[in-house]
Amino acid sequence: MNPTMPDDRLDAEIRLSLAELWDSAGTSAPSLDDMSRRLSHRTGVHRWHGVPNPAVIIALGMLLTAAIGFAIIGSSAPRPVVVVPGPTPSINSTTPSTMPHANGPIAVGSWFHLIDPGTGSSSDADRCPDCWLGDADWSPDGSTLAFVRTYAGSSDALWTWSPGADNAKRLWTCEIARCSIEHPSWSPDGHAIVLETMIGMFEDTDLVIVHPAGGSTTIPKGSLRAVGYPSWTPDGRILFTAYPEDGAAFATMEQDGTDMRIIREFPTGAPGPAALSPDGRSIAYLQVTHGPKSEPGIGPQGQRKLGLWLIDVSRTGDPPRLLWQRKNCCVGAGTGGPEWSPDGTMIAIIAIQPDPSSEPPGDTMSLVNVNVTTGDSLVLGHADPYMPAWRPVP
Amino acid sequence: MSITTQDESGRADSIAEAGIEEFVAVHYDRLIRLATLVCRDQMDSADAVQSGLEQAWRKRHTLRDETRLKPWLDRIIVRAAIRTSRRRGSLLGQLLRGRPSVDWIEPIVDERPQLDLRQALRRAILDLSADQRAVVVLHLHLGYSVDEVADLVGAPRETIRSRLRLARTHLRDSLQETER
Repeated sequence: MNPTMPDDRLDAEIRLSLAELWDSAGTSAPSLDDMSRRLSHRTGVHRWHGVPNPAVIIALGMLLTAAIGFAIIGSSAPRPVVVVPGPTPSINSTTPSTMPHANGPIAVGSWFHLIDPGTGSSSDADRCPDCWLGDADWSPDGSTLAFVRTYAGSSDALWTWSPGADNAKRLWTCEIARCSIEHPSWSPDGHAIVLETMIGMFEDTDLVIVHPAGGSTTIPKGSLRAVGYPSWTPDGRILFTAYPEDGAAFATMEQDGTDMRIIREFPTGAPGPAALSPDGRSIAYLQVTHGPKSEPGIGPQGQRKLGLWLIDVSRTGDPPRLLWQRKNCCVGAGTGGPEWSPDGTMIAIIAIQPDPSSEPPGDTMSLVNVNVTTGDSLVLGHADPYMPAWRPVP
Repeated sequence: MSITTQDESGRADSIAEAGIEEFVAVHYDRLIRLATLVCRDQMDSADAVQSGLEQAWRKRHTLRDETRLKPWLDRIIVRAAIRTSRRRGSLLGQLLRGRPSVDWIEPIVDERPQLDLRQALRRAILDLSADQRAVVVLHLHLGYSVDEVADLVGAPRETIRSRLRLARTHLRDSLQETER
């Protein structure tokens, strides 16, 4: 091997060496019990080997001091549910955590945060012991949170929790195998919750109305291939995304699936979640578009831009208005939101994008609050890819 | 509910369909090899893969195009491995690392004169920084293009080219030194 060899020959030698290293690097997959145990013991900073260095004692003291300091000033570490009964509506968001769960090998979910929409700050007031969750939504009076609790390896369930209560309650379980629950949404009168069930990944979807007093109804979807992203219109109809054989459309229908009315069609492309403004005049939705590959710093799939778009319901023939956009974004738009503030002036979304400037580089998922009038946005902090939810002032 | 506009032929590998147990079984071996090459340490790589899989499972709803599952996973794992490796090399990491739990030492045989060039190359690869090693593994072993590597590790294309260039220079120098 000649050290002055050209790049292609050097690369060939490197490939052979890498293949040898690759072959020697394998190991068998651990059991889920092992993984669960390791998760429960993971410090988040380090796994120790052998006997700690004496300097560890000093380092631990420093770490403990720092941890207390962070706890006092409010760190970004996962925290329990916080409830702020203040005069300003707050946004419910989540941050990731994974914990071993008694009923399954691993429960994957998040902690709640209640966040001041103007500053991003949060304060602790209470704790929900069972809130490892997916999407969530507050009841119209702000008294009850409905949230999806996810279980690895089994179907999701819808739970409710009231601030101050010791325990959350299981309200409804999707009895079908491999069933995910997404986008629970309280009706304006607080008597029902509409949600989406999905079997596997896009195999079959349905919209289901769950009554907190008991019972549930699956809404007939007729000839539609799929349905998704349900919410309510102010007059009690269901706003949802309909997927016929081709394309997609925003539509409304009665709670029994009758009287379907198309609001806007998307013959191509895949719009993300949509939400109707509190006054029922605008629909906000997220959509990812792919930009030209020629732009600098863009991957081979083209530049992805996450856009927040608005449609005037009374003028659905007009082109949508782009309110806010983030470049170099995520693979898909179905991340979180949009969620209108109760007064209709702000929209909260979860935006994902690679963050090469962070140290170390990684993806960033942020809760972003967008001003509906100006399009100005405020990043309120890290969040999980679930629906943010505004809590009305109780 | 979300949809994908692209080919769904990768459905058998889908995260939601498989469930986490099958998901781990299918992908663990490849990912642990990738992480080990970046981290150099099997325990660290197990940590990186575990935290990466945990992250992947948690973010599974964000993957709307199933045909992108493999690069999506590779991106999460390689970044987790780089993070683990950097953390290990930090001052705090070294402080926390602790002493070996054995109190005897194997006699060390100087293998240097017996090293062939391929062995030297393997050692030199492991001497690269985690950032450089990740780029070398992704580009030269897993076959990702420079643009794809840039997307995976979250760095500009020119940075990736620079890391490749520096890695090649280092590996060449190592070979030259071995031949002396």
